[in-house]
Amino acid sequence: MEILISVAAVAVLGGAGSVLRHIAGFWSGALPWGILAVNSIASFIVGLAVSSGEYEIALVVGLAGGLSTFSTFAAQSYEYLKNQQRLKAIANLVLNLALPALSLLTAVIWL
Amino acid sequence: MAAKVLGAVFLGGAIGSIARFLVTLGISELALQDLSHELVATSIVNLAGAFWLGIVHVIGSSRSEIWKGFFGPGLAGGFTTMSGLALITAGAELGLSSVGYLYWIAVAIQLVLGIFTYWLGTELASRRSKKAPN
Repeated sequence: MEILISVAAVAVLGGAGSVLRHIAGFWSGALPWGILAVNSIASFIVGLAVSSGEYEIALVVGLAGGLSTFSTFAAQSYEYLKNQQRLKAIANLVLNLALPALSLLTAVIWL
Repeated sequence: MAAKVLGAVFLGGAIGSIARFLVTLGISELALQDLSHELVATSIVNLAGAFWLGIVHVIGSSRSEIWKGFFGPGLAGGFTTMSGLALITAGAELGLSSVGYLYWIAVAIQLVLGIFTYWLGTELASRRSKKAPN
């Protein structure tokens, strides 16, 4: 029974997170800021959930997992490389490596 | 933005998130240590998801926005995770592993491999669509 509740929570929050990410994805300029922002916000949520130990599966696997994305990062970075925009590809990679980790650490230290 | 497209993204995201959850549960059977477990699980979902999105972007070019929303930002986006990777690198910084720098390198490699597998997906789908009869 507990696993079914977890699956339902992951489904609902994962779906909601995906919709928010899809909307945020339209915010783009020199870099895909919207995706970078949701990846960082999702990591912050993970930090809060892991530190507090509450609703971990729902928040970490569901909301944060649905809100953040790896596949869109890969597609956007590939497009930069394809268009000879190597610096943007590298910046996108480095920022997606560093900012989510920094956000998570900030949340852990904050709590 | 059409409500039907957002509904498709929601549905795809829900299914993708459940699939990611099940993969993570399956990997936990391997009884790896925390960070190793997370690394193996994210590698599987992220590389598979990036490959899938490459296919979707090629074969979905002539499909409806609802189809694209379901299979792209929905299914592929919901299946993959960047916050899971942050959990690994931040965990390494918090001293959950004595070889934390190796996890940073592993995550960086995963990011590069993700770009490669996305390209692989687009290539495979392009070749198959060229071979397919009209």
